[in-house]
Amino acid sequence: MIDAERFVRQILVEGIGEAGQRAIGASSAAVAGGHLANQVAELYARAAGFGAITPADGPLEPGVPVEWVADPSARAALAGARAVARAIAASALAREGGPCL
Amino acid sequence: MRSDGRPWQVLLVGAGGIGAPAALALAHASLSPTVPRFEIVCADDDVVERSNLHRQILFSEADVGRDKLAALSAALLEIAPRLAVRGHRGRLLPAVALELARGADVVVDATDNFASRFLAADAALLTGRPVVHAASVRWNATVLASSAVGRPCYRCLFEDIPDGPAPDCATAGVIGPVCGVAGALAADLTLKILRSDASAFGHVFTYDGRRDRLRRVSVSPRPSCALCGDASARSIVEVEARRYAGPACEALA
Repeated sequence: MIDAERFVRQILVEGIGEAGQRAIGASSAAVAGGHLANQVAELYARAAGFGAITPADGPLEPGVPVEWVADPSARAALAGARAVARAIAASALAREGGPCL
Repeated sequence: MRSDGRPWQVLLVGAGGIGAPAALALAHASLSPTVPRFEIVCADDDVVERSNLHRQILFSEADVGRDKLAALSAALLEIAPRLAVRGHRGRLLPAVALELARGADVVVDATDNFASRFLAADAALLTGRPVVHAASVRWNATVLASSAVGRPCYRCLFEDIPDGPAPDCATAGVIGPVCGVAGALAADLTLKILRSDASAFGHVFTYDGRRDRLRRVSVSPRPSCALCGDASARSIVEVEARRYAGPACEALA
């Protein structure tokens, strides 16, 4: 049973739905670690309802030049959020045979 | 620090899906001795609901039913005990917008509806305050900062409140970490503004979470902008409540 009350705003999103939420619950997110980016990712992964959270290979990267995003804490928050967005897309959208474009 | 020795005042409008990650990043940044000293004044009138928890990462089940300002302050205290966080219990409304903006050095618009967003843009420009706008819905986030004189400003890009019902997170939903991307970008732009780094202005960031694609696109000033355009084009010279009456879009932050 998915917790529809808690995840309602996520289930509403096109491409997620209840099936996508179940897929997230059945997936693990490899994001944990001691860096701030990993801590932020772990918060988002828990909030999104991932079934398991496992260690990342290393610090997560924000994937932007410092000219775009300079502050180390902002870069870490960006990296953590992007990692979980990717994990959600990979687990919930994969059901449709790839990212729904 | 400002020339009068006081810390900078960051007005964070909205303690929700974008306010949480923005505040988290700002609180961690405040621990660095190289970051200008600042305080956060947060405006919100909401309580934490369970349906907030998938994206409002500073709150947990134990906070459900609690005042968001209190929950946010407590969470930030854990991260940065010396960061002053004050609350303004209430929404950004036309009657208080100018006063709130005037008391701040930078306004962070982390609101959840177009009426509040345009009000934040107008109040900031009319009081000569820089403003950072951050929004997200579904898989997408949009973030841009406007200087104290605009050129460009939010209205250069988006002109006016859209007619008809607009998608918001209550009707269209939103992916939690997409809010996180918006909040992180907003925090960085805020810190750039505190450092007088003009590279904060003149771009819009867009993020598509489905493809994990983050873009930064230049925005030009629009001479016909009603808020910051040429003198003959400027029709917004005060905050008039009727301008923000638009379609009701009272989604939860």
